[in-house]
Amino acid sequence: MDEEAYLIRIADYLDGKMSPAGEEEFMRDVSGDAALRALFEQELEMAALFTPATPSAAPVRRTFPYRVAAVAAAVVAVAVGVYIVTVDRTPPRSVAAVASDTTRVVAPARPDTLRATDPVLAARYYQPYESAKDPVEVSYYYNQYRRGRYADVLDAKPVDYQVLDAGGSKNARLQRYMQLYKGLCLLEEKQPGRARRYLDSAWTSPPDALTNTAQWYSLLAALWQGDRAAVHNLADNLSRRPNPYQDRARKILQELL
Amino acid sequence: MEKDPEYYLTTETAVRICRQGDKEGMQHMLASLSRLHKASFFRRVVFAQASIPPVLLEELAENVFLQTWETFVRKLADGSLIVGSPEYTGLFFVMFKRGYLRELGKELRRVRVENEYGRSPMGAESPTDEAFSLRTRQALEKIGENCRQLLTWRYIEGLSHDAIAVRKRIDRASSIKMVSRCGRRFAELWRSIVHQF
Repeated sequence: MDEEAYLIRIADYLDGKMSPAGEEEFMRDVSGDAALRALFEQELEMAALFTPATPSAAPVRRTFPYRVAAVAAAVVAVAVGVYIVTVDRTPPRSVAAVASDTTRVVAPARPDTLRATDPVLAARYYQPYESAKDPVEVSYYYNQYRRGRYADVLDAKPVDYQVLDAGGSKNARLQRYMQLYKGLCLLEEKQPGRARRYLDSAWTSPPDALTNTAQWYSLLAALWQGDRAAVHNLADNLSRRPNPYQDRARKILQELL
Repeated sequence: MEKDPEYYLTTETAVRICRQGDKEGMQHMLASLSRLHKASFFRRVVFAQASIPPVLLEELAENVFLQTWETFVRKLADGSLIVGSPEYTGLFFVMFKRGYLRELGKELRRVRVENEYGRSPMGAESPTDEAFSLRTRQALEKIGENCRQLLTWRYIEGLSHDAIAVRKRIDRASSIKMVSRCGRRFAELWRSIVHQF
C-alpha cells in the first residue's frame, strides 16, 4: 500500500468515518504494519503539539497508583455530579445548548485528537447573568429574563421602562440595562449575532460594571460564532482591568493561544 | 434484583439519570459501559507499538476511560453535551477516543524528546508543556502562510478534511496530502527550534 492510501486511512479513522469493525481492523493493521504505524504516530504527535497544556493521564514511568486514584476520582465525580444536579440552580434555561447547533454539525467529523471547539469553550464558561444590584425600574425585565420569559424582554420598548420625571442620564442607564437583558435573552435563544448587537450597545467609555458584564457576554457570543478576532480583543480588554470576569478572560486567552 | 443494563442504553435515559443525580442509575450505566462496551472501545483505539509497553497502554486506556466517564456524567447533568444520537455509548466513545489518542500523542512526543535530548536526571526540570507550546508558536510563525492556515484549520480549529476541502475548494484527498506535507515541514521547523530546551 502506498503512502497516500495510508494517509487516507488514517484521516478516515481520525475523522470518525470508519465503522466500529473498521476501526478494530485499522488498529490491528497499525499494530502489524510498521510503515502505517509510523505515519499514524506522526499524526498523533502532530496533534499533541497543538494541544494546550493539561495534566496528563499517562501512567508511564510513574509510581503513584493512578488506577486507584482514577477510580477514586470517578467516585468523587459521581458525588459531585449528584451534588450539582440536586442543588437548586434555577437558571432561566440551559444555555450550553447554544453551542449545540454548531457542534451538532461538526462534532462527528472532528479529528479525535483535537481540543475543544470555541462553542464548547463558550459553553464551559457560560453562566446565566445574576445580579442583585440592577436598577429597580427594570427589575420586572430582569425577573422575566431569569424566568425564561424572553419574549417579554425582547418586546419591551423605551416607553415601557423609562421614567418620565427622570433625567436623561438615568433613562440612558436604564436603556443600557435593557440592551444587556435583550442580549442575554437572545443568547438564550441561540442568536449570538443579534445578541452581540444589543450587548455591544450597552458599553460605555470609560467602562463601568455594566460594560464589564456586557463585554463578557459579547465575548461568549463571539466564541459561539467563532469570531476569534473579537474574542481576542474582548478577552484582552477584560483581562487588563480589575473586574469580576478578569480571571476567566485570562483563562480563555490562554486556552486560545 | 439487578437491573437489566440494556435498560440504560438510550441517551434519553442517560440524560435523565445524570440530571436527576440518580446514583444507582449512574452505577448501572458505568457497569453497563464497562461490561458491554469497554473491551470493544479499547480494541478500537489501542494498538501495539515499540516505545510504550502494552501494559502501560492498557493502563492509560483505563485512566482515560474513567476520566471520560467523569466528564460525561458532568456534561450530561449540566446539559453541555450534544445528545443527538439515540444511544449514548457512541457519544461516550467519541469522547474516549479523543482523550485516549490525545494522551497517547503527548506520551509519544515525550518519549521522542527523551530519545532526542536524553532523559532528564531525577529532579531536573524536563521540557514543559509551555515550552512545547512556545516552540509550536514559533514554528507556526516561520512556516508559509498557506501551510499555517491549513495546520490551523486542522489542528487548532479541529476541522475535518471534508471541511477543509470545502473551505479550500479542493477535494478531500488533496486536503489530506497538503496537510500531511505541511505537517512534515512544520515538524522539521519544530525540531530546528532547540534553544527553548
